[in-house]
Amino acid sequence: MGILDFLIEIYYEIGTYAPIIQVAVASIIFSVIITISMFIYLSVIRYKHQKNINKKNQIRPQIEKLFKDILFGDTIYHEDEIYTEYTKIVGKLSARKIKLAIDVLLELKFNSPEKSRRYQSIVDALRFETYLEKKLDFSRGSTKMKTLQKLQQLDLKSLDSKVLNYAYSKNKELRREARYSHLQLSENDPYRFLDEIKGELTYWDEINLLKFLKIHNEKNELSNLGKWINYSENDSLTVFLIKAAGLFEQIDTKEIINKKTKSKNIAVRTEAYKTLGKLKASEFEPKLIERFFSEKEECQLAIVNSIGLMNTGNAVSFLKKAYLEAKSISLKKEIALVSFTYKSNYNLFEDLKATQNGFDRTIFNHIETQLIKFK
Amino acid sequence: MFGEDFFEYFIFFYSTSLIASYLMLAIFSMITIIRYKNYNSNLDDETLYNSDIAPGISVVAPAYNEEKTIITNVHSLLTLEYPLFEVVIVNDGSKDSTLEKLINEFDLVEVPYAYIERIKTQPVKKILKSTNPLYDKLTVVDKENGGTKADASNAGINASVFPYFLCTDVDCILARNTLLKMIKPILINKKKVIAVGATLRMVNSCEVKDGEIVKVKPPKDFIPRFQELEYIRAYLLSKMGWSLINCVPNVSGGLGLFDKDIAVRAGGYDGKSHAEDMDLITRMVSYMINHRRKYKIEYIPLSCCWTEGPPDVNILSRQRTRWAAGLLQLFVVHRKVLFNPKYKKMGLIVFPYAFLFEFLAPMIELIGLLSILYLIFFGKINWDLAILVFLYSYCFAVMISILVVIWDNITFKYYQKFSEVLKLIMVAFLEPFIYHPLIVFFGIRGYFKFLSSKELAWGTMTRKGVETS
Repeated sequence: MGILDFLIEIYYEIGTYAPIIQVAVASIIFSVIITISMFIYLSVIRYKHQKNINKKNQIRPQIEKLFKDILFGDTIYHEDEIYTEYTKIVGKLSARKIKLAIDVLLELKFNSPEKSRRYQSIVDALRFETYLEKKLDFSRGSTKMKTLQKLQQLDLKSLDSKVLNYAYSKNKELRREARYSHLQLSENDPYRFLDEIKGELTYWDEINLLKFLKIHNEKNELSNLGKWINYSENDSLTVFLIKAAGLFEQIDTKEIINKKTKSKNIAVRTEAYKTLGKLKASEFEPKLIERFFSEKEECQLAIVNSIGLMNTGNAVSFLKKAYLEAKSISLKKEIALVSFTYKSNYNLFEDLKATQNGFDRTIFNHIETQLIKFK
Repeated sequence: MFGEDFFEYFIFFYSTSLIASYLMLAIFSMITIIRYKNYNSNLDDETLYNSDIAPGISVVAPAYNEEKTIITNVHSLLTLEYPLFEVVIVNDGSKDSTLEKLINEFDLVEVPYAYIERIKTQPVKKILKSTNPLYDKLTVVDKENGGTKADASNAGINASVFPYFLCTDVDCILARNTLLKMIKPILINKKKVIAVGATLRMVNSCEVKDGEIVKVKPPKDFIPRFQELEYIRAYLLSKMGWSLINCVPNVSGGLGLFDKDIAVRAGGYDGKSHAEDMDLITRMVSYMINHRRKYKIEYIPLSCCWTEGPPDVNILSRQRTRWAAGLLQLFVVHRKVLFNPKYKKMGLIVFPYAFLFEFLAPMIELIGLLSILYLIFFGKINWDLAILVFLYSYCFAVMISILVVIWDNITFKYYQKFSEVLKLIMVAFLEPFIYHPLIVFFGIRGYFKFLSSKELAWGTMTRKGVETS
């Protein structure tokens, strides 16, 4: 009797048992088969992983040595020479080997203390562009997203039009990454998607947008953000742009930002107040003081912070009055903090401190204690 | 006769529904793990690390009689990679030299600190800061013993300054990039993420240098190795699976990142709770539902925290007895949530699941065991059927354990050698015979202790300390 006949016989015999036994037997068979398959799969992935590690350990130092020589050495390598030397180490060029070259190059670009102007020669010689373009064309969404990140890191502007294809993708992660990439890589209209941002920005959006604006700022190519602050109907974007204008010290935007202190949205007003301080727009100080007593607490905190940053020395009586009328601990603490560093002939901090006792006094002691880093 | 049949069918349906829920969780966790792997990269860490606007995080770590490990672990916490963070250590009235060691090592002095008691705790005696600028991120809160970790954590939350806090145990060693990895789900979501968790593992046999894990190894001793497998299963299968449908039951007390505002508004940790982690999540979710606010609780599939697992049965017994008592306490305190549609997924999925398959399981298993003993004693047992039913659950349990080992290897290959993976797989075959019966016994004992109102300690564990090179 063959195995097949035996199994068929068992199958029919089990069919005569109670349903509970049938379910149990089926489950046992299922579990055993899956367990064995998973064990084989695990063995295979570990084996492949180990093989890759061994290979990388073997050739990666040689690639690093070659790239360092190309990037930082005295010899100027021609593209053909780079190609030949690289293939001498890794053998015939394949997608996996180009990926390895990209990883090594990025490692050197971002972690090496030395900087070079010859990154592009390796990019061209090993045809990174063709490889990345194929990845963008023929891979799944998540791989495309990671490819876009590689384009950003390599600063490959030539694939800008490809990037644009994904800026309207249905895959939201891919769409977001494509728009970030466009902001960095486009030479014609990098800010195009600022007008198209809909809905609330996430914190992650803000962090990434700021990163790319910073890249433009470092190259002195950052546009004045005022026009987007002025015309954007998206309050969340407006808040972010005001914050960015403050961080990049775009003094020209202060008039527009001042207009935003009249916005109906508290978050916009709060950010506008804070940024006027960062921009040292002291001409608006009297207006801020005037609005203080009719504002919500978030805005009051921002106004006090702003007045501290302006540090004109003219707001002593305001700060004193604001402190004496303040009811919340946060506001008292903020005013005490500002008065501690406020430049004036009159020592507001000591004056206020002298009149306080109990917990309010502790706030002053807390602020003047240098050992407390985060007040 | 009817009773016996009913019992048999009940047990069969109970175990079958448990198995079905595990299969469902396996599918859910696979989806979340693959999604996480696909849409997260190390470039994200770099972006966040270099950001000027990253939100600040307070790392809160309560300590009670931790003199053996405190110095190494505080050093480790201070070297976390994140642009803006502080470390708040709460000395909860330790009777050993925990505080003295901290003062000497980190040059601490008492400072006038504007401590606001937003959550009620036992009195704070003093707050200390370091005179050494190298440790300017460190704050030590010295308070009177509150009897529970929850009370100490609350004091740490009160003293913290940033909008998010990461709660951990001071005996835990965190991966350097823990904060970078754990804050991302909060930053990327449009919905309010109130808590984020990550996987914990055993530090017992790992190589540690300067407060950092340099080589991950499975524990040599069996008890911690069983726990390693248990933890990986609990995090990668269960919590990752539940996170897909926003039904995470709890974020571990050993490692959890929380939105401070929501945690404080929800009343913080319950100072009397022995399951403070699940209690806090229940309170935070209840707060969000009561205020009609949308929320999310997220998990990431990375191992970010290594903790010293109980090295022997006695210490394991103390830990698990406390956890079991905490679980029962939770159902007593939050009984109105159970099966209550007002609490949506929490009331209709999270609590019922925990009640049926976590709380009742030890009792049902004990009844099953007693029934078998009874049947054996009176010679009534059908051995063929008994073995079949045993194999039914045993084979499934082994399969699930191997599945999570695969998940673990897909997310990150923490063990360098395949032989180390095999060591973990080996305990999957032994666990149902050795470890699981112990857990059932300790569970029953915990319920008994809670019901008989016996006092349970802070959750202290006799530590060997981590060997550092």
